[in-house]
Amino acid sequence: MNIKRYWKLISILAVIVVVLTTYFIQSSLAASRYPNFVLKTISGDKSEVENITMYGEYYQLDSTSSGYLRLTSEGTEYLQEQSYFERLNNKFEPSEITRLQDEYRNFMRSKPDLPALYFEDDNVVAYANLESEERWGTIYPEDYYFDIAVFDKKTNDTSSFEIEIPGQKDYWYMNVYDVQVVDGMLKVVTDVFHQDGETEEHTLSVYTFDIATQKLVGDETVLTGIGEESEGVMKRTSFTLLNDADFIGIQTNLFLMKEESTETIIQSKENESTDVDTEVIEDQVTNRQVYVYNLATNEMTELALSDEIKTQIENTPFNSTAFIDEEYAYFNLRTEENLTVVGYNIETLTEEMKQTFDLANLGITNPTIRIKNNNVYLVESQLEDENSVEVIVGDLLTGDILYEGEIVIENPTKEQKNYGLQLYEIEIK
Amino acid sequence: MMRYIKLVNFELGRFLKIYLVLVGLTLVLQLLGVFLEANGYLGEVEELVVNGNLTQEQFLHDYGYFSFNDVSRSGWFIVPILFCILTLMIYVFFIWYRDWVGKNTFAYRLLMLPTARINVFYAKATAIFLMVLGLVSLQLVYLPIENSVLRMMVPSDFRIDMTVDQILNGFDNLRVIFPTSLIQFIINYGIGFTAVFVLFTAILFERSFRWKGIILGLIFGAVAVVVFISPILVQAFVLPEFFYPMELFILVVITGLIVLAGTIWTSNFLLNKKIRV
Repeated sequence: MNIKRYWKLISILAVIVVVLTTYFIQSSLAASRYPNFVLKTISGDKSEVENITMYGEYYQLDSTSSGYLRLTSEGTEYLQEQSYFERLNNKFEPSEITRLQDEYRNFMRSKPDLPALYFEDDNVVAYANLESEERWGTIYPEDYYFDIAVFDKKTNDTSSFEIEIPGQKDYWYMNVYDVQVVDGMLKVVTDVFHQDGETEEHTLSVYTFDIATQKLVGDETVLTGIGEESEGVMKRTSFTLLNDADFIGIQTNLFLMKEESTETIIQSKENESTDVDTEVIEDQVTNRQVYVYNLATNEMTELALSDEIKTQIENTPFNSTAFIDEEYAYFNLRTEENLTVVGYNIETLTEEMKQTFDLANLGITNPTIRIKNNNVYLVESQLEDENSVEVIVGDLLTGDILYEGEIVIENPTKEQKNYGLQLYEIEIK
Repeated sequence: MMRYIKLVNFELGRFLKIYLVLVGLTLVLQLLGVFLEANGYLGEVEELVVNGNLTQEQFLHDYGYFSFNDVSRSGWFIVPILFCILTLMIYVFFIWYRDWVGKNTFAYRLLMLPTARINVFYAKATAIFLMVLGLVSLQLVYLPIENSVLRMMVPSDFRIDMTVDQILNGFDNLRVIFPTSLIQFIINYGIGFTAVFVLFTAILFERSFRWKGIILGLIFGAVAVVVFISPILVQAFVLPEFFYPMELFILVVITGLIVLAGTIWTSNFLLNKKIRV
């Protein structure tokens, strides 16, 4: 074979092989273009923050560079820097849902990845969701039915069934809040809107299914409220589940808030020349009540709140600042400088705990608050400029600060100095 | 095997002149782009800082630093790339039709060579692949050259230096041509080259059945697309969200290989039994 005759083929091949190999070796060795955020301890024990996972976004202020990150005491991972196959899911792994998908692959098939729809304990993995079919010829939009599946961990059997919801001829809209299993009974916490003539009825119901017989055995109405309009004033009732619905483990006590509000439509004909009506809607909360509902006993109790808390919760959007665990229901009261956490004992329904933390002194202004295991976790939700993000862990039983730390970039480069960081989700395991 | 290599070399040689024009034109126009964009920026510096009353800080605040992004987002940089893409896309057709042009059709000699006719098909496809990858590689060589010209022209106080990777990240839509991960590269170019195979088969349908062949070729192309994306269609319409992402990926790789095998088998059949010279 005469090599010279093939110089065209050989030279183009050589260029391709040399350049592309160099390119891919270089890009695999290249330093990350994202900064490495670390949690730096200022005081306290690092083990206090080992169970915190923070999700957020990093962005460079003077360019379009940005990345989604997951930060733990171990360090930072970026969604953009996961391998090609990890990125197929386009979310951080492992999460609770991807763990379920790995362990119960066929059971989890075709099911949406919303943690609120799942429950898991030592015996079962349960799933419940509302499905609907168009209901032709009526003004009501859909026929709702429950789609239920339960995986028995002991026998590896899956039982799945669909159950039509009885008496739903005037149901407008339904939504699942949470799923729990108590003593072989599947409980689905559901938000329902009915339409009864002019008035709208809103209920929070707990549907109970017997897993063994696959039958609907109970339909408990937990909260009801009316929505109606008269003389330009719209009354509304809404319910909020204050539990962490995304937690798929056992939560026997539901922590519920009922909110009544009015919307007043004020019509004003300010602009005579164009003849356009301007509508101003005035929103006002008239009442907020808080309840604890026990799924095992179907007992509901209203929490008798002190005036201080009552005033606070009626004046602030507070669904992100109330928590419940097996012992206590917690409320957070914010003032300019302080954060006060009040804990009600669920059994005795009395205020048993009250701790105040001096936020100004801790250097934290707008924290995301989480409560778990009698600890309060405070993480500054965003940063601009060169401030660092504060992370504080406080003990609710003693009022002590267990941990104080800050999130900073490890060895920042010249370009990485000018950045923003927003933390929008804090998970405590 | 030897026949195939000879044919590839031959096909490369036939397009070499135009190819070298593409290679040279890209470098010249992109360097011109660096020169003109940098000169324009330095002109503003001259006018406003040296002769005007702006301080360097004020100028940088209002006009920003100069970086390779200013070059790579200008027409001088992108137009030659688009021109190369367009030329090669036209040549995907012309690489076949040139053999049928003229009095003594060259296709006759080509198909009468003492080798399997499918080798002609493979050789033409390989030539296209090599020319595409060659241009991609040369662009990766051009970038550092253009980058150093930029550095020589603009003083460091007024510029932000970028690595090749940062430059490519600024490309947005062109990033598909230069993926960072090897797997993404194989996927992108795998799909591209499969599309070239399908187009070749459609061209052979036309060469075999002329007018009727155009319709057959279009049908073949449509079937290929449907087969290739069939797992995604099933996921969307028949079994909603049934497959996990990894399973879907494997299924699409399988259907992609089926399409590839289908085009080769069909082309082999057409070349051996139906082709008209």
